[in-house]
Amino acid sequence: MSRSKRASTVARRDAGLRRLRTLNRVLIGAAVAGTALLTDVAAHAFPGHKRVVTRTTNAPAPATSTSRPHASRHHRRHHARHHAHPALRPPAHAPTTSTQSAPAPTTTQSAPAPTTTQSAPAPVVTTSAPAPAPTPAPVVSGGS
Amino acid sequence: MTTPTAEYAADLRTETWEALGTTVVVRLTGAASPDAIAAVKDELDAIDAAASRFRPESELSRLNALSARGGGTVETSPLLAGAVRLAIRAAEVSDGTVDPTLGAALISLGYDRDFSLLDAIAPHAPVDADIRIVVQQRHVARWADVVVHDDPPRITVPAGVMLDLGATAKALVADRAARRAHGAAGGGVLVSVGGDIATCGDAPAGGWAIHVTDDHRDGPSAPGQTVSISSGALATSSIAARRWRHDGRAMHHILDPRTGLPVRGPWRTVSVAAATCPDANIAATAAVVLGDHAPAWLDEHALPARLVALDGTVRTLSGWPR
Repeated sequence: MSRSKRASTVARRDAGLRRLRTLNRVLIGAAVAGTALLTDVAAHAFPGHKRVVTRTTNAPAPATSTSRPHASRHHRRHHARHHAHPALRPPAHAPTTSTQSAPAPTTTQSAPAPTTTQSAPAPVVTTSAPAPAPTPAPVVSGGS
Repeated sequence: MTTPTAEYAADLRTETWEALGTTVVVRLTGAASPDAIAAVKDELDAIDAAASRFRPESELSRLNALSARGGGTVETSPLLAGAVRLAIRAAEVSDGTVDPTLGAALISLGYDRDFSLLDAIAPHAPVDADIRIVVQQRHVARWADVVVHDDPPRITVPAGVMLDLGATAKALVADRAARRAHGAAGGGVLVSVGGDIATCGDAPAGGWAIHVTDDHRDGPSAPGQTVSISSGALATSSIAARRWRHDGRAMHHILDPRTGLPVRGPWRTVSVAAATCPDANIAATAAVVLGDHAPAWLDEHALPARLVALDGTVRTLSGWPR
C-alpha cells in the first residue's frame, strides 16, 4: 500500500471516530434531557402521598401536606415575606353549655294582685303587670 | 332582601331576614335600634356589590372577567381589597385548604349561578360515596399569584384565575356588621350571616345562646347542641348544607383543593369558636377539608371545636363543652 493511500485510510478512520464521538455526545445529552423531562411530567401527573408534618410552633400550616394543591413553596415564602398573616386566634373564652335549647312557649301569666295593710277598702286591681318576656330561641349556626 | 321579622323577648331584640342567598339574624341587648339594623343592611349591600360571583356588575365579576382576558391589575374598593386579602390569608393560614381560586372548579361542578337556581337536594340526602366526575380542568392552586396593593387599593390577578370569596366573605361581613351595629346601638350585638356568627359589645346575662347543627335553616330544634359564648365568634361548615345535583350526582360546596371535587372526608359538620368570625369560618372549613388531620390541627391552634362525623359521632376539642 502506498504511503498516500495509507494516509487516506487513516484520515477516513479518524473522521469516522469523530462522527461517532459527536453522535455519542448527542445521544447522552438527549438521554439526560429526556430523563429530566419524563421525571418532571411524572412528578406533575400524580398527586403524591400525604405526609404528616409535626409542628411545634403556632405557625399556621395544617398537619397535611401534598405536592399539588397548595401554592408553591416559593410562593408561600414570598407571601410570608410580603404579607404578615397572623395565625388564627382562639376566643377569649371557650363556649359553655347553655341551658337554653329550644324556644320557650309564649306565656301570658299575670302578676298576683298586690296586698295592702291599709284599713281602707282595697282598690280593685284592673290591670295586670306586664308578662315576662319569653326566652328567645338560640341563634342557629349551621352550614349555609 | 326580604322583609325583616322582628322578635322582642327577654330584653333581646331580634330581626331576621334573607340576604346574600342566606338567612341574616341580628340580636341586640339594648333598645331597638333602627340605626343598628340599617348599618347591618348597609354592610350586606356593600359586600354583595363588591364580592358577589353571581352579579355581573359586581367588582369581583369584573376582576374575574379581567383574569379571563389575560389578567392584569385593577383599582378596587377598599372593601373588595380587604375581602380578597382575607381570602388570601385564609389560604395562607390553612396552607391552601381554604382556597379562594376554586371558582372555576365550582362552575365545572354546576355551581354556575345563584344557589336558588340550582337543582338543590335535601340537606340530609346521603352523600354520594363515590363522586367520580370528569372536571374540565384539574384545579391548580393560584391564590399565591393574586396580589393586593394599597394606596390606592388595587388587585393583580393572573390569567385564568376565577376567585370565589363565598367561604370568607360572609364571615367578614358578619364581623363588620356587628362592629357597626354596636357603634350605632351601643349595647351588645350578635350578627349571624348564614350561621357565621359575630358578636360585639357586652353579651346578655348567660351569654349568647347558639345552637349548632348541620344546616342553619333547620332551626333550634334540629339535632345538635346549644352552647353559649360571651364574646368572639362562632362558625359552622357542613357538607350537609348547600347541596345540589349535577350530572345525576349529589354535590356540595366545600371543595378539596387537592382534587377540585367536593370533600369526601370523615366529618359532616364542624363548628369552631374563635376571636373573629373569619377565623372561625376559616378553621371550620379547613377542618372539613383536612379530614383525619383536623383534630390535631385545631388543637394546635387552641381553637374550641365540635366535629360531627358522617355517622353522627361527636368529637369536641380545646374546651368545647361536651
